[in-house]
Amino acid sequence: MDISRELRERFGPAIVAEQETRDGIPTLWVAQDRFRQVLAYLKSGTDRPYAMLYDLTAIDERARTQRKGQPAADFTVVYHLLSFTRNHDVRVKVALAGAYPVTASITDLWPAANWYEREVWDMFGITFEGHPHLARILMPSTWEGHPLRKEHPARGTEMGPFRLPVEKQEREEEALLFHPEEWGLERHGEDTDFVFLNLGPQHPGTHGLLRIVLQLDGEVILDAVPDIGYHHRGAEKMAERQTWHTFIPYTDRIDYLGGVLNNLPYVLAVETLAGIEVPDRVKVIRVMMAELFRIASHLVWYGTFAQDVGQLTPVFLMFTDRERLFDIVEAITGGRMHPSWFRIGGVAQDLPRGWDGLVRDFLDYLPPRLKEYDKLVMGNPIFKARTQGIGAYTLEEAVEWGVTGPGLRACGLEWDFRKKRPYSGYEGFEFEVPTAQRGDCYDRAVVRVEEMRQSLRIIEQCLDNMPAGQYKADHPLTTPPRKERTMHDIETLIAHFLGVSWGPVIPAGEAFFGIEASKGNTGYYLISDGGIHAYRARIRAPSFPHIQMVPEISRGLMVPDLIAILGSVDFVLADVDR
Amino acid sequence: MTVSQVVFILLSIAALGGALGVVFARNLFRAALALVLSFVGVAGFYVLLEAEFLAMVQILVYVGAIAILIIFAIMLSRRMMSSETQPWNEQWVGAVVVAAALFAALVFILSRVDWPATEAQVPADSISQLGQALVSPDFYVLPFEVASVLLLVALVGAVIIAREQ
Amino acid sequence: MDWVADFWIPLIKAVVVVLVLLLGGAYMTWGERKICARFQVRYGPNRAGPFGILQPLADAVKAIFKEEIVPNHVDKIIYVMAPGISFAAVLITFAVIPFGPEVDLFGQRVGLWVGDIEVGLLFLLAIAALGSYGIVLGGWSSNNKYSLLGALRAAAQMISYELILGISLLAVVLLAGSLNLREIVDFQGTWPLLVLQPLGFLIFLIAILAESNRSPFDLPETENELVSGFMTEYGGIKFALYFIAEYTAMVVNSAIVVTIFLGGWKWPALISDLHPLAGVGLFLAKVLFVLFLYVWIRASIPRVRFDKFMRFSWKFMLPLAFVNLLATAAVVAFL
Repeated sequence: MDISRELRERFGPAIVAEQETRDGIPTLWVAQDRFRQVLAYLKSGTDRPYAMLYDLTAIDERARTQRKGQPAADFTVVYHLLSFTRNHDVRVKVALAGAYPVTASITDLWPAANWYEREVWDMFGITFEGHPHLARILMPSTWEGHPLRKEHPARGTEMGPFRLPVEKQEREEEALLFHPEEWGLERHGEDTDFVFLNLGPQHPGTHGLLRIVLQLDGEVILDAVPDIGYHHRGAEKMAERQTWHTFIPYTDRIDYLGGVLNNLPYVLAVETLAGIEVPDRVKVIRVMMAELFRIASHLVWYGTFAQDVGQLTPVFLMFTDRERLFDIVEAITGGRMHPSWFRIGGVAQDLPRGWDGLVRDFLDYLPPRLKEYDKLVMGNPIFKARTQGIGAYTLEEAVEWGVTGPGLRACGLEWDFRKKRPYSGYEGFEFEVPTAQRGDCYDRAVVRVEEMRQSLRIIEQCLDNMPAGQYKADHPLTTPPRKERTMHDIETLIAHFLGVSWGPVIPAGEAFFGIEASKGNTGYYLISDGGIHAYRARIRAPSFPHIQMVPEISRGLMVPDLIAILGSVDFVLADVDR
Repeated sequence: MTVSQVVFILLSIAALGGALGVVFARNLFRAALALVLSFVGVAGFYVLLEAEFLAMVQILVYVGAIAILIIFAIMLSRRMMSSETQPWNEQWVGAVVVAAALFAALVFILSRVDWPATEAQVPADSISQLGQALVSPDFYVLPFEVASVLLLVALVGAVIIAREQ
Repeated sequence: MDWVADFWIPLIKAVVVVLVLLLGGAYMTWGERKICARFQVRYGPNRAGPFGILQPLADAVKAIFKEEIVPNHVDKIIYVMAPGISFAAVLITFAVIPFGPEVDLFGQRVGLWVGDIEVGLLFLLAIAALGSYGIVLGGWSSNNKYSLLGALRAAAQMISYELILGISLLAVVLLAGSLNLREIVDFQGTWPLLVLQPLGFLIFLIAILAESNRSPFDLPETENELVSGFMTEYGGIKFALYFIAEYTAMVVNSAIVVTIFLGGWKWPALISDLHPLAGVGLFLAKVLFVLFLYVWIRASIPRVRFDKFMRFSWKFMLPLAFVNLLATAAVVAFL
């Protein structure tokens, strides 16, 4: 039965309204006093339940002009749930009133809600009652204001000159002192004093600015508390001031190893909002570039993971391979790590002459290398001893904590957006979705290694069947607009002028688009208020829940295991903090 | 004064100074290091007496195993490491009595025993003779084996104690 | 007192050995970087001089002229002393290793070794034990948790592997009937002990890898886990001392492996009538081969986990070493 009808029948007046969205995900407004029951029912009451808390975020509605009959609200908390058994999503919205509203926490329903609610508190100042530790998560603890509120300035120039009086400096220094109690850690055990090891933010094993406070007994990890936010750059806030078009380069830098894999969900979400249908050639070009970047990202993971367990050589070999791949990317896009090459309604340019030769060479080059790496890394007994049985989680735990991507498939669930909800023409490609069973560090590696081979298969099909046609959709909102006809009629010229100077004006509405990125599911939830920039852009990044889960799987293990786990999870700090 | 006398005095300073350091150092870790110094000084005496084998075993066993175990234990208990500890506690009276009694006994024995001194050259093949003496039935095989059994018992006992916890 | 034989010759030998060792340690850093680079599709150092051979000198100059920093929170005396202990222990170790036969040089009968003591083998073990103090003290005195964890690992590793090292060497002593390294080399006149003691050789090789904290047993420093372990707080010349101690230790340990198991400076029985000095060349060649093994291993395999490594040591290596010893004893006693 249709889920919105099911809920209406069961909860009656608690379902305040149902909203139309461009992405077709049922979006239900639920009364604030009943939403926990609704969510609990969705999680475990209904048959084929919505087991995963896919995303939790909020919207500051106070400045929104085109709400089209949505219930009155100053702030809205959005719960995005995903059902694997139904292959279906549902979005639950709760309207809150007041400048600093209070609502109930759902950390008891989903442990993964913990960080999401902290993020909402940090960004919007919405208090969640019943949350075990509602503290700032992305911003420094001394930050004043909540950045994603509409009254918070978006640029440094709006904030007035920076001053650091002595009292403020002292307050900042005071905030840096480490008190284990604030982190929920005991100082002493029954007959031992624990050691607190501050792993990071500068540490060679954390792949970036990640701090993990470890409570150790000897070298055994009793508890671990990740501290994130060192890489927070306010990408979601920037989306509210950049035009739809000029935000594309910012997406590249979310998962900075993923390149155009980040552009893809963004442009797909914007295209959903705008109703743009892209030509086949665009789809296949996008798929090819996305898969090239998936391989690039996985190669970095492969090398650094081996490096994390102490193997010196692989990382050099794999970075060399990645260089070859970047040569192709450079020839096609002109950029390397961050080409920002996808456009709303197309791609930046057509493929250059000779691209097929380059790609063909790479397709011949990589498979034998991968075979060698199997022997060098995956087959190595010490490598196996370091990774097998380490950092394992079950499928239930993975779903509970919001794990997606290779980490989910390593638990045996064959779930890949490219297969289950094909986008950008993936339905036309033949490839397999590799899975593994035990969900430990080694199995996550097995899945990723096999994914590289499958990506090569997809690229080969792109190469063999590249359709002819335009590299841009013939649509007024395509940005930058097509140029050929601009000198022939005034309407096109005006549209072109506006499109280039303002950027496109996207019709009001809401759309989410999630894709299978290299680290997991990356999704953009865009809200347009009918303007030239997003009213709210929510970036659902896979690394965020993955890092939240790390303490869960590292308790009772040792410091070297934690490093192996961090390597196997394959996160990017920019993707965590955004 | 001959060279060996000078060396003897230096080694004595090391051994005794180390021993005093063990007792008086306020920092437990440094006390352990002083113990190492004392052990090395004793090893020096053995070298001076041309008992190279004993000297090496002294370093290997006492410096390389026993002292490092002590240091290992100290490093594991962090509070001991970081703060200065009092070198005495409320049991100091008993300790003084025991120490004085031990000292008296040692002095008594030292004064009563007739220490034989010989001018004979150290045999060239002292190690194999030492080995023969330890395991030959005519010499020390019984004490040697008894000591082995004692150590074995201590080892088993330690394992049992550790396992109960 | 015969000044030439008893004073000058030992002094000259000692000075030459120390200089060669220092140079060897310094160039080992270069060698490792070059060889590793080849494994990793790179060039390695190639700017300072042809093939980068001046790189160690440049590194040394840089380390010496760096500002001497002693952090505030360290135990200053021990902190400064620790790298020196490591370094001194390594140099002393080489004293008992014979690198050639007795030869006539400039009218003097000169044995190509620094010291010829009866208990050379024990001396090696004893000094190795002292050397580990350099790491333990450095880690402790740094007053840094990463350093402390490194020191703890070093101490535990040392206790475990000293024992295995000793027991694998006992089998050698049984066969050669001596603790004197010169006599052990002489014993290998026809066949290197590698042939008689293949298992003992393997055990010894693993144990000495662990003893010198080299990959895959470089657990006290483990860059990815403990930042730099016991060396985290060190910089400048003190860091350089640790560094060169580690690489000189590789050279010395290779020399030990060569001396005890690969026949030292002796040729295989087939070609024995060569100039005695050729033996020195052969010794060097063998040492270089073992050094290459070190680098090869480092470039190829990942690092083991500390506790598994300890378990491996006590539950597998030690019994194996005992089995090897008993089997050797049985053979010596009954054949």
